[in-house]
Amino acid sequence: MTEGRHPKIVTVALAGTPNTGKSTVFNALTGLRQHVGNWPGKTVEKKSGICQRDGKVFSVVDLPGSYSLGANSTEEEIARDFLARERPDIVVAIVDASSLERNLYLVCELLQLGVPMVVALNMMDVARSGGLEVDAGALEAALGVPVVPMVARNGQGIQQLLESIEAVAEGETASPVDGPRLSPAVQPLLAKLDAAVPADLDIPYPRRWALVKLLEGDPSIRRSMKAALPPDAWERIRNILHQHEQAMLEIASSRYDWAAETYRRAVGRPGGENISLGERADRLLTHPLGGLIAFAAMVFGIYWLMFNLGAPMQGWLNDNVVVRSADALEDALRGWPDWSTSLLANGLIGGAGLVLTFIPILAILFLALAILEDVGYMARAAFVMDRFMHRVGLRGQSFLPLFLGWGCNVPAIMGSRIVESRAARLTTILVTPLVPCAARMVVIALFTAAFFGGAAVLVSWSMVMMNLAVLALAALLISRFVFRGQDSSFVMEIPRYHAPNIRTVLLATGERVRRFVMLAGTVILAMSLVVWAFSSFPSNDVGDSILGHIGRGLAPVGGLMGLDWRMMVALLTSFVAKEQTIATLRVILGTGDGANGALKTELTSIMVPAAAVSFIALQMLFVPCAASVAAIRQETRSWRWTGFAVGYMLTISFAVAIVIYQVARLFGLGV
Amino acid sequence: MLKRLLTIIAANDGTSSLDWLAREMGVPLAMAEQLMAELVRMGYLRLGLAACTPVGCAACPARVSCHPPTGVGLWELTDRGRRLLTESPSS
Repeated sequence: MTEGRHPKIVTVALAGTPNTGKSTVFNALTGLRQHVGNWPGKTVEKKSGICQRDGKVFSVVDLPGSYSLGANSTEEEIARDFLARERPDIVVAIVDASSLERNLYLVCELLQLGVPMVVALNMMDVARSGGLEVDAGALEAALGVPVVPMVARNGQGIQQLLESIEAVAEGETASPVDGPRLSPAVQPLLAKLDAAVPADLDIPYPRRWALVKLLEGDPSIRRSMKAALPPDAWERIRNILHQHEQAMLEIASSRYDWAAETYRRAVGRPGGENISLGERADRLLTHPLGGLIAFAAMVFGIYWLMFNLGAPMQGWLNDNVVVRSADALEDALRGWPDWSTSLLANGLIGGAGLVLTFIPILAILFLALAILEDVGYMARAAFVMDRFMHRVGLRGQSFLPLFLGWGCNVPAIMGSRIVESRAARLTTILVTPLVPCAARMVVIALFTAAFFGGAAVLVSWSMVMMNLAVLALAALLISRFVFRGQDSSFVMEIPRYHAPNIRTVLLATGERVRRFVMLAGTVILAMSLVVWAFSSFPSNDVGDSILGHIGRGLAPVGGLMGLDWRMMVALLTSFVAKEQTIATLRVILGTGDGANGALKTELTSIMVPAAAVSFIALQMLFVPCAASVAAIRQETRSWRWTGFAVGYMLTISFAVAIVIYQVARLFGLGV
Repeated sequence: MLKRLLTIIAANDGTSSLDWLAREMGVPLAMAEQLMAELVRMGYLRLGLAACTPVGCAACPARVSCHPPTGVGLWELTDRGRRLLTESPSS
């Protein structure tokens, strides 16, 4: 305190973590008598002001918000240097009652600094509305310093705070000397350090406090100590610190333990017991088993919507836009050479046009994904899937790229760059193409609707589950026999649930649909024309065309799965883009019978249901599109691994498809 | 408390969620975040991912738990953290 002819000026420092209402308390105490400048040598704002009461003058300093008295930020360093070096007469610790346990760490440090203190327990209304009843009296007893419950923004408690400040200034209340005790494990170490540091050490901090900070690895204190000590003395201290690196953990732990214990005394129960609706939902949605079931149900729900809302729209577009446009074009071009009519009607409209009719189905998928993502569910799905994947050998970070693969495999493969370990990264890259991307959904939608009617949803859902099972098995085998990386432990922050933002959802959906249209209008269109050319030359009879010859070469393999050469050609062209399968089939089948009938009808005439299931499985597990293979090459930087990825997916896809066809025949689906 | 948190993270089979950790520790979520930050500062955990992806934020797989500019809400146990648990697992 400053004394003289003028009234005593008591310096009061307001300390607290950010957003605890510190500025509100400062304004309430000082009114218009404020001065705003910068802290010396810093760009951080310094606010100070005068408060007068009963002839006493208080100089109030608003310290920058800080979570501790460390030097983790400029703000923390300013706050702790002012407290430790300037030694204000009184510290008012502004504490957010609704986040009491977290705020008590700083209170613990302030108590350990040994300055006279008052605790302003602010935001009591927020705490109460959150179901938290803080007993200010019990907290006061636990801390040994005055505690004033407040709602500063309403002015509640300001007068009581002033009274407490005055009482402490008058020495009417005692403050603890050492504050909460450090861990017993640290005490001998502190004594050892104390013995190593000369008694006449000249540093601008309290000695014991500085020694504790030294053990905590505080860089600023280390610099001060090193500058103040002879080199050999500093070397001895440095050796002690090096041998006891864990001390910082012990010290911080003892403060957190104290905070938890003090919280229990003030609130009467451990922290973290207020269970919100979102947390209740998470107990199911992030449960190892319940979460997986919920995820599977969610996928089923999306498929149900795709088939019950999207498929009728797709059928309508096909019948009323594609077929009619092709027929009208054929009529309009009557008299033109047959090849030109065929090129435009079958190659252009029949191929790329048909793919575009799947927009409603994909839009529903994209919309559902965007809503689930915006609500916060997808992060939970990724988390649940990660736990599942971890059991089969994938590492923590892998789930994020895998999650992205539901939209498109290319960014997912590129996203694997976030996985640090090379072994885990390669495993992730190799299995990511097994995540069923949206393009595969288009093919599934066509085939299941054509062959399975009301059971289409169930068959589609089963195929997705099959892919995930194969993915898990592949990851298990790759991690078990190819890579044996060290396991790692991760913690993920799950975002809060919130209502979906319509604009965000629509933008995300629109962008994905736009990409699909761009793909159909460029790559698929060009490839449809190439397929048309190959199916029309040198003969108009597709069986004698270039494509026919290629297809017949693949026919023996297709025969094992009940697939004729046309299906094998369609599969082959899916390497360009998965949706190309449909465009190719439309071109081939349209060329073959010269009609523009519904593709679904034509498909059922060339294959039995057993072969259809086999083909769907083949498509789901087949080599990914060319862009994905290029991404694998880019990310692995190895043709060998790229070849391995292509090879193992070829093997798995054919093996599974053959088994499915043969088993399905046994169940009577082969007729 | 900090070592207990590290032990739970290391012992859990797979990735833990911060909410689950807070429940296991019996502390509010905000407190759990502070404990994680403390462990990051001490070098026992590492915050964030190995690298940003070339696909941009909109398509980044980590966007589900990313909070620019503070970083990704994903923590990994470091070698230092693992060593600590190996050297003195019981305390």
